[in-house]
Amino acid sequence: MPSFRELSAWISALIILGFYGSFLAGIAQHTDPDATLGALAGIVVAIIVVEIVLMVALAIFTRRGDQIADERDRLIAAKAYRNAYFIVASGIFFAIVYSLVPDLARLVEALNLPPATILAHMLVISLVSAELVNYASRILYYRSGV
Amino acid sequence: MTRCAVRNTIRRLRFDQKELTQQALADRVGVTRQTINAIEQGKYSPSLEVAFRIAAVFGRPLEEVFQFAPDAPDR
Repeated sequence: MPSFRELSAWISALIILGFYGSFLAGIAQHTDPDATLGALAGIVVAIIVVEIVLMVALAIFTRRGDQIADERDRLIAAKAYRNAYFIVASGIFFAIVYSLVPDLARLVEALNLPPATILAHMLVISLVSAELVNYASRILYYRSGV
Repeated sequence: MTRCAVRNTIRRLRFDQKELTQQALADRVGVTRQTINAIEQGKYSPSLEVAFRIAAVFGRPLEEVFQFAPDAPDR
């Protein structure tokens, strides 16, 4: 049976994919900054609640919720965070370039969103992508070795 | 699949110790059962400290439990 931490990585990845995926799928509808902020806040709260419920259920089911991370868990987490860092750094880099080069706004004119909202979406996408890479990396390292 | 250059005889030593379970070995070493399994399968090279702890559980010298084989083919 996979370890508690591998299973929790699967759960976190699926939660992020489900909640943020549905948000990003309707990205073109999020034209109003207040509504976008409200939708994001709702997703964050929903993710926290669902994650707590599923992690408690997982801990009860596996009876390993109190298991302390050992050296392999810590190494896998460190490598996964390293991979995720590159995604966050890339997202921030592209956001900076987008902010400083006004001509780039023309490339996303079709979305019909205010520039500040597009910038916010770029940062959200980079954060979500980084989280997905983080958990996907953990699953990969747990399954194929580190 | 990642394979490390450190081979080990943990499976045989567990057998010699009246089929000591991975969980029992993990509990005595202070790691998870999955980590012991990953070490046995050659998917993870343990730290020197954990390697010494494993050798101590079996009462064998470190080099009898772990061997460095950089050119060994994947199993």
